[in-house]
Amino acid sequence: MRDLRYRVYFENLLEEVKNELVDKALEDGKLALGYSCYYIPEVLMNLDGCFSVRLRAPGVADTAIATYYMSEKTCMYSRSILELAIEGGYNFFSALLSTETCGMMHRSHEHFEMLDLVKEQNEKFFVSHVDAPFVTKDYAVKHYEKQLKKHVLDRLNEVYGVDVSDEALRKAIEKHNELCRIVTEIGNYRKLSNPPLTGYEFHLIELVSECCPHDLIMPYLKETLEELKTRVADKDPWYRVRVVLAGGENDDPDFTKLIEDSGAFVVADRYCFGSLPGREEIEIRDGETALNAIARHYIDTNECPRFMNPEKVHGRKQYLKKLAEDYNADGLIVQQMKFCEYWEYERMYCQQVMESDYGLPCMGIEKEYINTSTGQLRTRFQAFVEALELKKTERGEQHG
Amino acid sequence: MAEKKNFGSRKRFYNGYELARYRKWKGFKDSWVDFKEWLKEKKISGELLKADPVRAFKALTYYHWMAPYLGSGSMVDRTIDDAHGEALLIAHKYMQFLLKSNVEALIKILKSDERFGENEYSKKTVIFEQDASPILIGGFPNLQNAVEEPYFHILATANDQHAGHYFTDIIDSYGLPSDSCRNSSAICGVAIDDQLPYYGACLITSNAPCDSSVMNSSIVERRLKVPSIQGCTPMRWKDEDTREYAVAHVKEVIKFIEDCTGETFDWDAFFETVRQYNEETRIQHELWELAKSPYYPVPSVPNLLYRSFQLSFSSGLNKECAKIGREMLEICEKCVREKINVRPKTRYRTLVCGAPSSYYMHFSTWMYECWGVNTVAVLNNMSHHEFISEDDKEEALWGVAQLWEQAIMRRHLVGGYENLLEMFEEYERFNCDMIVFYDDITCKGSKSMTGMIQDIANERNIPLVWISHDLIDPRAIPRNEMRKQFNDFMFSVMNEKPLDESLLDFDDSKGW
Repeated sequence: MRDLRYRVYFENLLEEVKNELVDKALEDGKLALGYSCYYIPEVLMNLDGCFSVRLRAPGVADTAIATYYMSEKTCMYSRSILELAIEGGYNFFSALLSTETCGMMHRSHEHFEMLDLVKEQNEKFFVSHVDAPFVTKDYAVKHYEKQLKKHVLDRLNEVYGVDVSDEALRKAIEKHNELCRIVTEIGNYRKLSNPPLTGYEFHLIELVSECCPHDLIMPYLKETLEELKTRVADKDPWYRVRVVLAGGENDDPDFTKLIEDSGAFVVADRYCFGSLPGREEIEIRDGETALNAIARHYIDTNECPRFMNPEKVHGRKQYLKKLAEDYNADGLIVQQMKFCEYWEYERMYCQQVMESDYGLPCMGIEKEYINTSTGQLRTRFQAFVEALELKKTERGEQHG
Repeated sequence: MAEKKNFGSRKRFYNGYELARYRKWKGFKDSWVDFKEWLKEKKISGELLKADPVRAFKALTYYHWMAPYLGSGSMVDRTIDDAHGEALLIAHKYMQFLLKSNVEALIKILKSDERFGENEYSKKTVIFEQDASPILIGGFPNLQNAVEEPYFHILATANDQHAGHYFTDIIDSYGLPSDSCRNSSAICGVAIDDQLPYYGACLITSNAPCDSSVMNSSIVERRLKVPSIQGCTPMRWKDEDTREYAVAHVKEVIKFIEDCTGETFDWDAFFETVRQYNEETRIQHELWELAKSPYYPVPSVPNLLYRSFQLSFSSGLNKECAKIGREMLEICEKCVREKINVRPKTRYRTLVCGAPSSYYMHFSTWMYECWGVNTVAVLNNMSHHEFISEDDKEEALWGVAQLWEQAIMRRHLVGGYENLLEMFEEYERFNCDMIVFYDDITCKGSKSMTGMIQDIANERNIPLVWISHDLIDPRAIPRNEMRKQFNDFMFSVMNEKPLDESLLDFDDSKGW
């Protein structure tokens, strides 16, 4: 296949947190709002005059200072965020919207407060903490909505005068939905048996949509969608098997590339920073306010293993099975950041039940934020690809 | 490696073991008290076998966690080794109360266990997962509570240091990385190894204290096969706006218990339990006041265990709890009033933070005996200590919610970094001159605050030592390694010499 026109551009945008589009938005006087987790609805940070930046720490090779603060026995993503913050990498932020969902990630956000980070550059900078529910009951959704209002909307309004009216939220939802439609449409190409798009390319696209101002990245996404409509795939599929990639934090497209280089096409991205879930349109139902709809939507679609109620616990596995069916996947890879307690359990659980109870072969791997042991991982991916191929042969299916 | 030979005060122990050839001589009077009380403890432990010998025998042969309880006498000895005079009496009274309560709880579990035959108790039992106070059961006088987890690995490991890693090995082989909280993962090992009793009308799971314990619930639920409801206590518990959600959850739990058992919540009975709970809390506040004094006589380990019991097991349900508390209070008041110093070796008063290791609960005892470091306050004990309304229903339910929110460990590990940093206020409050931080290597909540805690300690010139341990598995960080960390700190930072050199370096790796 010919390269995507903006592939290199997207790669370059992801090289830095404060990339050229972020700079442009800042020059336009917009507020940059940082966040890490799906529990903070992206749409709320894209109200007029604001844009969202999902926290990444590209280029952080050494986390010595953060390791002093958080010890070496904590998640490297959290430490990398803190390291970059200490280096001043997020000094352009107007606020950091946090949730006490993952303990270590939250602790790294708390260090912004404890060490007075960013404040020197912007004295109005604040960190806000949302209490997110563990279950999906009505009272939990109500609680979540109340928290979003108090800790996100009210703070933005009080500190920066951001318009947080229902009308403003509806407008933000409309724009958010448009972005979701485009990304979903692009992502749907992965369902084809010989798609004009690789998992790596889609990972780039999804990441730039999360890390760049929506208004500014939108034209590039639209153009990419148009390009895909006419992009001709190679005659024969390049992959040997198709896999769903699930798990925790993963903002490293090279990780997806590593899997694909081993012959497994990543057809679905069900991980933190992925599009499944993340790029579903928000529907405002009759009688709902915009905030009602946002709270309900983000609880309903949330696939975080932190949810404890059985509907979600079993629903997460069913969702993976459904993705495998929709995207015609042969297997599942569950990746987990070392020390991530939520995904340690979920990964173990998936490895135990996905094949036996759902008929979906599954491999689990533990990885670091910055992957240095790629050789070992490649060997494991290759072994998994071979195992999946064998299963396909046994079923009498063709490879690729 | 050459075997370490015991000498001095360790001479009475067999090399490598905690098994003593003879009891410690504490002077005529104390030794007599010690022996007399020890006999009482043996009698209490015997009740476990006497109450239902058939079930007890079956349990002993089936449950891996059961046999360590036979060594409870040794556990008591280890925890009160440093006690003399009034402190000895207090320590024995505390430990006897705890032994008795634990034996009663185990008997309750055995009698309810359907694995050994159907019975009338099982369907009357409501199981509470780790850290969730069972106070609500006070409103169901016909029901009994069982607290899951502590009995199967924490207390079993306290009795025998090698009891718990059997279960962590199981969950490790199942695929869980060993960096996950050992406390939460051990119970999964218990569940997967089919070592949970078959009992209960329903299960109330808990999201306390940490991410790991959120995740282990589904494994326990899957194995227990009784109806369950998930704990969803707010994390940001200081945020007033979480109240409505927290209370809604408590109400849902009450309704769930009603639906599962056919019982109705009795508010009068509940308020009676709350009154009892408040009395326990009042006593604790008074004890803390006395702990500021240099004449406070309570040894730390029995006190730590008692407070944990009070919060997580009793919460007003065990009438004996307040009674024993009052007796302790009287003895403490006497010591402070009459300036009776029963901790004469004290050179430093320390605040202990973090989760203590289950396999080395008596580390504080050793610190005192070897270095004269007297543990006068335990941060984990400063968990929920508010009073609960005794007449207003909504307020009382809010009190229950807070009790769950501020459970042991959770109180300081979630809800904001300020909660853990309260340790520095407690340090001042109890007139300490040292902080010992039990650094559970799998506890992400405290590990991710290490730099900040160290910075503040340095800034305020507070001697602080981190004692790394694994919580459950002594093979990862053995007891002697823990002692070595403390020895190094005392030699190099505090520039001190030990009170008893024979306790500096010895081998107890094979013992209970």
